[in-house]
Amino acid sequence: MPPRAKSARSGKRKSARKSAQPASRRGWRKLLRLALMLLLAAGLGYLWYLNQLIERRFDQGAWAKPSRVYARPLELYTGLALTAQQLERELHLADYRKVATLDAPGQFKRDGERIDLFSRAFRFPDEQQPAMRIAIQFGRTEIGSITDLDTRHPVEAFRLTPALIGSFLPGNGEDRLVVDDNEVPERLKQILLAVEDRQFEQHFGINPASIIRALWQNLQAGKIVQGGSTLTQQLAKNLFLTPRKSLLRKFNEALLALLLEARYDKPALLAAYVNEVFLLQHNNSSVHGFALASRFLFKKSLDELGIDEMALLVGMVRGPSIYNPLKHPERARERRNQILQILLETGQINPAQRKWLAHEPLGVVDRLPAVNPYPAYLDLVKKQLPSAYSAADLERKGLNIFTAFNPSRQHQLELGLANGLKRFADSSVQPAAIVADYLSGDVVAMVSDRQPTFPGFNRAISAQRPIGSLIKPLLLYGLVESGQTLASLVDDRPIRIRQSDGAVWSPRNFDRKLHGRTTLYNAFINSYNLPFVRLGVDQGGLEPLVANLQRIHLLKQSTVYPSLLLGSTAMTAFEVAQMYQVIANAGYFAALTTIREVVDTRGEVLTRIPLESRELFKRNSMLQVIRGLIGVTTDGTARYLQQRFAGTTYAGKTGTTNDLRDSWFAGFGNRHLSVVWLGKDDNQPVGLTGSAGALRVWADIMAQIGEASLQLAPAPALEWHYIDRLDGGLSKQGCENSVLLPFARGSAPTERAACRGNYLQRGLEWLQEEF
Amino acid sequence: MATRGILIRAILVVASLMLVSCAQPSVMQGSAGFRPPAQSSGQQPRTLNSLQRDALAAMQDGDHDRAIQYLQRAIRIEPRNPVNWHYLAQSYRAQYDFARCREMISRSRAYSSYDSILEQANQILAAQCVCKPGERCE
Repeated sequence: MPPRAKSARSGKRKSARKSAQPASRRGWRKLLRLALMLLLAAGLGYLWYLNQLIERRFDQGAWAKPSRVYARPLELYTGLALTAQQLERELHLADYRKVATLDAPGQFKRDGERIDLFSRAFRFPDEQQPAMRIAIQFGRTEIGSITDLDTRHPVEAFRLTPALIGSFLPGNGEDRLVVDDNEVPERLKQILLAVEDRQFEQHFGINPASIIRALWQNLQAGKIVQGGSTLTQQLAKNLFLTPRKSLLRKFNEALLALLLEARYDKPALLAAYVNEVFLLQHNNSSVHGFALASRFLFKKSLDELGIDEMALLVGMVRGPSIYNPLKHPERARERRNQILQILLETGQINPAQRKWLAHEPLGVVDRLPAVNPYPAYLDLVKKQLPSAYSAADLERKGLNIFTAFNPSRQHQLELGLANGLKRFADSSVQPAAIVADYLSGDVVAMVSDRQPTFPGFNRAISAQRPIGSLIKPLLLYGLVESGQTLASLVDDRPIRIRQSDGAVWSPRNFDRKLHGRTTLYNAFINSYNLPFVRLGVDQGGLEPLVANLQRIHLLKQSTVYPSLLLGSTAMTAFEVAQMYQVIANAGYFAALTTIREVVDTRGEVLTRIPLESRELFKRNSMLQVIRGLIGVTTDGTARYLQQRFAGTTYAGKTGTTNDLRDSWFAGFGNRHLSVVWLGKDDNQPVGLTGSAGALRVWADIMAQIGEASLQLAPAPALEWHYIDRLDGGLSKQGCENSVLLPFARGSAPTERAACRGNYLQRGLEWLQEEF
Repeated sequence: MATRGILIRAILVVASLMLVSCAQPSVMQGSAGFRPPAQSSGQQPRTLNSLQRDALAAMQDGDHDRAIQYLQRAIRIEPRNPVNWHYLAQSYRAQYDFARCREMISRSRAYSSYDSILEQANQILAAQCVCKPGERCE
């Protein structure tokens, strides 16, 4: 009631009374006034504090946006070696759904050897690709044709949306895909408001009528059966308060809701709610926001959702674990149908729609995708990210990291590795394996544990192990560069080396035998140690080896010992892969990399890693080394490959360390390089040579990949001759021990070797001479 | 006597040739499966015209960053196609990145040993990818 005007007389009387009042009463009043002022100040201070809280969350980036890591986009083109089954697998990994009829992006259908695809629009780092409907017709082993289903024109090349392969989540485990207001379908907003807050557009943060109604119903029930919270209050609670039910929390919630409404418009608050609401618990991460929940549960973006799917998501808001459709499908169905009933009552759907939608299956996935299914690869991505990106940046800034990861190769690597490990009874044998495209430097797959999804110690990039004979190709390169040829004769005799500390080193061959005088080629393919130590020490092979290791940043020791010639240096499997990349690529170095681009939330490219191709080693000399590595797989320590893949040429090298503690194989075909290490974490002997262990696993991996036969590129500066691999003389095709070897022009041997063993060949020679 | 000798020699020749031709694969002990590189460009690359076309259009527009993106995509598809590496070198030259230009030329030459026209183009380009005094070079 408004205060009435007061008369002058009454004022005088009052002042007289006032003077008559005891001093203590006046003191109390003062104190009360002061207390009220303090209370007001505290209240204002508290409001200011809450205001600051809101400002921090909203104005300075409301949410931590986890950065996303994507696989390489699969380039589809006519002639690509890919089967319909392989593409189907890629589509599943990229969250495409198999349907009977294509009616929305993110779908595909398969009819025998034909796949029709409705691609999603996607912003690649270099261009925006619109959604497209295309038909892919497969031949026996390759894509026969690609056609645009709308224009009926052939499509020459098409990039498939890349699969999401990992996320960098913040410490609190909150995972979300943040969407803008304009990305939230109107239908979803309508359903949400119909269920959670029908007065949203009218109220100012709190809805007194709704609170009174809830109070009355709760009083009648004798317990809390209904909440009177508006959507804004729920948002305030989710953002700033604990779930604990108390009067103080309700008071704070109301204050925060009022402040939120005072500061932001309705669309911003609704979008904030859509992004904030908790919907699923997934291992150690909590899924917030409709966008990510939709991606996880339906493999769909929000604009691809049907009404029934939206109804289910909105229904889950009230009790994410109670209505979890994977754990409690019946409850979830009931809840969804309740929401559909509300939609019917509010006129959003008609009775026929309600009836039809209520009978629809939930349409959710069988199980949620693994949070981080490729931990080894993701570790390397993290390690290779430029230092400009801090852990906080990765957890908060929503970066999109595009990588070279190839899900199909990873699958093949995991299958091959699992098959290979079955060969060994000892379950404590641990692997590290990498597959890389040596022509581009792309790391396409990686495993660092028997259990590939186990996110523990990353052996592939952290376990430094002696590499044994894997060093020999680089040593051979130095020898070739210094004028030796593959046909040069070397001595396999004992050697004793007094080292700088006075100790005497007497290396031995692995088979403890001596093989006398033989060719460098033969010594290399059989991995004889003594000739290489002799060449390294007596003929200056050690210095070039050191220089060549330095050139690829793999020289680990400051003091070099002759034992380096036999691979006493320790490297990770990843570093070995780098060494073999430059060998396989005939001397052209490309730093092995996982990352292609890092893009921010606006689509701006922050980092781009260009293709690299530095000629660090001479091609013609490296081609001779590669020929030696082919010999290893046909006649040498890895001749198992010749038996297993008859007619296919691979190149590679085995490596074994003291007491059989490490079993290595590094090898390549026409495009891919793979390095396999087997060993034990406690450095106990694994009991396997490179040939008996890692080589077999490597073969199992390559069998899965179906790696093509290595074809050496022509090199005009080289000439090819048949050589007797034991005595190094010129030989002929068909003679026993004759091998076709490359030589720098003019450096081939001139002396002829006897054509041993092959009497037919010798007979033919005699006949040729006679006639 | 002479006729008999000729006859024996003829029979021997025919028999030997038949046996050698039958025995040849098993005689290639150890080296079976390995073939020396062909003296002509046996691995004739197939060209993804659309990516190369887009790259050339971007180069014509002076958008060399974009051209490089297209060419890198093309190279990942056909890494042994010397033409793509040559165009990539051209784009780097246009950006005055002569070091990269030379690297890409070297790679193009590795795959174009027997393609005289491309070899000539690579030589001309290599001469242009040398930083001269007073030029802005990277």
